[in-house]
Amino acid sequence: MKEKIIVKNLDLYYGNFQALQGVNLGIKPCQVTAVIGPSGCGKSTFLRCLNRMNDLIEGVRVTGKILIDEEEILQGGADLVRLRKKVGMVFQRPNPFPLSIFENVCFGMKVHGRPRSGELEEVVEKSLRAVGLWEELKDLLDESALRLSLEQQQRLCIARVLAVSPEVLLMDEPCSALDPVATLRIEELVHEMKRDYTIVVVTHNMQQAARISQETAYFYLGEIVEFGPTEKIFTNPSEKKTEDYITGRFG
Amino acid sequence: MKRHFDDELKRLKEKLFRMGLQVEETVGKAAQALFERDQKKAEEVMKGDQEINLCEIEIDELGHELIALYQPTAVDLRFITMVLKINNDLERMADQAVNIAEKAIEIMKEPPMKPYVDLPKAADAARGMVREALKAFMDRDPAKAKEILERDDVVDEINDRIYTEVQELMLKKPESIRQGVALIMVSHNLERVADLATNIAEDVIYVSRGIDVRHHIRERREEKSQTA
Repeated sequence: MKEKIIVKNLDLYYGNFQALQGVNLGIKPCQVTAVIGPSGCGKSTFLRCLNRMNDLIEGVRVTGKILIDEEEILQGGADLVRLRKKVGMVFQRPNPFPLSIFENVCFGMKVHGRPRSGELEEVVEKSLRAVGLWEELKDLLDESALRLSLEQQQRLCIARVLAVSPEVLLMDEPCSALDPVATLRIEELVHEMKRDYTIVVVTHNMQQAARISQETAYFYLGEIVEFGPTEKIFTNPSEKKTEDYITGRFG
Repeated sequence: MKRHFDDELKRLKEKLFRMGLQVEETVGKAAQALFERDQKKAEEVMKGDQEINLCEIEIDELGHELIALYQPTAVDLRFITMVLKINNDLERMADQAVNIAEKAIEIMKEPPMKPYVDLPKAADAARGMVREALKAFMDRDPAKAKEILERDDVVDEINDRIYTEVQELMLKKPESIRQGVALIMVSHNLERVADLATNIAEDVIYVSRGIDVRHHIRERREEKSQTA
């Protein structure tokens, strides 16, 4: 399978501190790739490289290459607006805007262009359907998004990303604010979505990585210790360090 | 709530069922090889064992993978551990079939010492128990599983009868000892197949009711706590 994202010799520095060291990774399309590792291992930093969110942090320096569909995204000339439309992101805590449910979902579309009439309604419905919210919210679209439950808010945030037709979804601890049942439901949603999207999930919930991903990368101290099929990582990892981490002996 | 884990469990269940059918068939074929003095059939049984061993490994791997990836609990955990045990039981049944096939080839070298009367009954009963145990497993039907436990006695009785009868024949005709011993072993192999089928039935009861019926364990524990 041809890789959607190829990362080559990626180094990242926060000032003098090197947060990522020589990361090499290929992320396949239409599957879930999980990134695990103890706090501070660089997994979120790595995720933010994939749509250049780290550019927003002062003093960050990145070297190496990231190719998405063979297009280099780290070069100065890359179109960031187009990149972030193509590579959407879902965060740890649901962050709906203090607007109506409808306005939340179509927010990105308005930023990215002038939708034709009727298009907004169409996309809002499609996006809410994709995250399993349409039936319960179709009559409440003008209500404030802040009134929703945390799980609904997180689904809404995913719908907001889907509305701009991304190809890659980055999820940074997408369930850490949710209870176990809501977590399982979001995991099922991720499982469904991988048919259409390339998904990269950062999680410190190892069991979640096991349940939802097809490939897993274990990061430690800014380096990839092991990367491979999830079933291999969780039944018979090649590296002792990985085994110690996933069995809870370390980390 | 829909869980994609259920699709994985279904995949595991179907894989085990397919292996079970193959094992049931191979037990039947081994017995036919003996009764029909068909060397080709006996060789097919021995060759087919490799394929069954491969199935066993695949099911084992998938079961362990599901435990590692989904952290199953309660009925899901009981189900996967049951599948792993049944997998082992089925593989051992197939080994019994290979033993029967080997003995069939040995027995074919001499004229038959006696007509087969009880042995086909034992073979049919054992094979039937395997089939029913698999069905109980597929349907998660503890009532059917319980019936199978009761049928084990039938095969045990036939086995005892064959043992006595062949022993007597051997005393009368010492030249038939080689064949006699082989027949006693075949009968024992069939009895083992039936035992393994009852193991499967016990596991089906465990997974659907959460009750362990092996070795009358509940009664023994109760007795133990009363005397303590």
